[in-house]
Amino acid sequence: MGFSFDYLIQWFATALTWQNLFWAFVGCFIGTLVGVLPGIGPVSGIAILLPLTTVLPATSAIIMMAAIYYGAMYGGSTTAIVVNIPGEASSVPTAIDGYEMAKQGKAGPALAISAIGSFFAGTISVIALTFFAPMLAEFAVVFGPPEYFALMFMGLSLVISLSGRALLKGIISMALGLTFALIGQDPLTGAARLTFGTSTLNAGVDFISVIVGLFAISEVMINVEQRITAIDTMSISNWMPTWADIKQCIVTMIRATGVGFFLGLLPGCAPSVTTFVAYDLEKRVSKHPERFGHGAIEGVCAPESANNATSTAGFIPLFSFGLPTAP
Amino acid sequence: MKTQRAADIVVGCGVALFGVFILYASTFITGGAAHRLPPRTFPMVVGTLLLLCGSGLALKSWSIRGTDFAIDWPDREWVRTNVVTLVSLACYIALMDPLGLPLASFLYIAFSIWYLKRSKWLMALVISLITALTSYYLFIRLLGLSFPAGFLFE
Repeated sequence: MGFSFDYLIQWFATALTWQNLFWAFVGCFIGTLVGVLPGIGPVSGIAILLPLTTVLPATSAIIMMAAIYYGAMYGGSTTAIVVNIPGEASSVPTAIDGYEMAKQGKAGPALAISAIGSFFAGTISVIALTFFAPMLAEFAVVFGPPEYFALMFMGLSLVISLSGRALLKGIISMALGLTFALIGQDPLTGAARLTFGTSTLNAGVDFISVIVGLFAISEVMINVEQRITAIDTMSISNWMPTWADIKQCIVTMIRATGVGFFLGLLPGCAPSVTTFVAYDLEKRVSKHPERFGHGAIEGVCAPESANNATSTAGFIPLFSFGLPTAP
Repeated sequence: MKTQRAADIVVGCGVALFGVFILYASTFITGGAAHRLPPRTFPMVVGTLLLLCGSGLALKSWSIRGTDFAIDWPDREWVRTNVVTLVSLACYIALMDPLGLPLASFLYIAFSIWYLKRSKWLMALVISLITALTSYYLFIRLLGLSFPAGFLFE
């Protein structure tokens, strides 16, 4: 089906009925609530809430599912920023600077810029999806094994710039991560790898459990060490970012949207990869890369924008070829 | 391990040993003989990487002569608190199946708050009760997750 403005008007007429807007609101609301819960990511959220959509007409059900997905993707950033526990894998880079901002009493601006970045990236990506979907879908399928190898190689090489001066320790961390990812069945042959004869490990180690455990337990230990028994309070005037913060993030949002959108087109390129790429890119182009990891607002904006752009772009190969970009 | 250098040497040796273990465990991976790269290839590469990087970290730290950083280790009370926290967490996980999520959560949170803030036992009871009931209604009843409900709620 080619693009024409008649179709566009027709789509808007369908999407903007009060019933569909209502289900979109309900989906976003519930999705955000589920996304805030650590360990329940967008995939689990949709799986849990799927029965809710079965009573709806097909269009409303798709709208509600998309809304749950976007809501859950956004909700994951809240716990990452406030308590340093990423709700899902794609929120890990957000936690790096978001939690530092929260410790400096800037949790409000961090949450707000995360929402603004998500909204900006989501809107731009939906416009791109509307006008360029067929063309971009063709681009997505041109990607073959060599291109995927190059992409994964680039993803792993990000550890070089993210490690800073502790390169050897960064590579060790990466190798330890790869070791845990290896546990389970080999995807090509089905052979059991590093399961030590236990059937429990055949399914592999759940990544969400690992990141929640790593971040949550270490945070509990740090709080015990520092004898923190109360959460700091902050005045309501600090809840919104300043105009200077937003200006600082405009170019970041555009860049991260581009990165998230184009990588999100590729089947198999999950938001967990694109958020790290966007974070690393932002650190590289920044005039003050030393601020990253110590509460840089761009460090929150970049992954959150990329996250939403990837989510939207993922619908292009999904709807065009039935190829989901992530689980 | 009073200095960063000593800690890095110990960590490096530990990682290298872990790499050796992964290499050894990889030799037991069977199957996929028809493939050009059998399934043990990548685990062996990762094991070798761990061995090389661990040895590299240990050797690099050992060869450093100059300014060393003293590690500000926590005091004995912190160690005791952390051990108790970790043991109580392990008990929580172990009790999850026999007692169920709500009761195990109640016991764990009540104990943790009481242990970390001795004077607040009433607050500990109230917060743990609210958390237990919320976790039951949210995770088990509303979201239908497969947590054990325990004998109190079955």
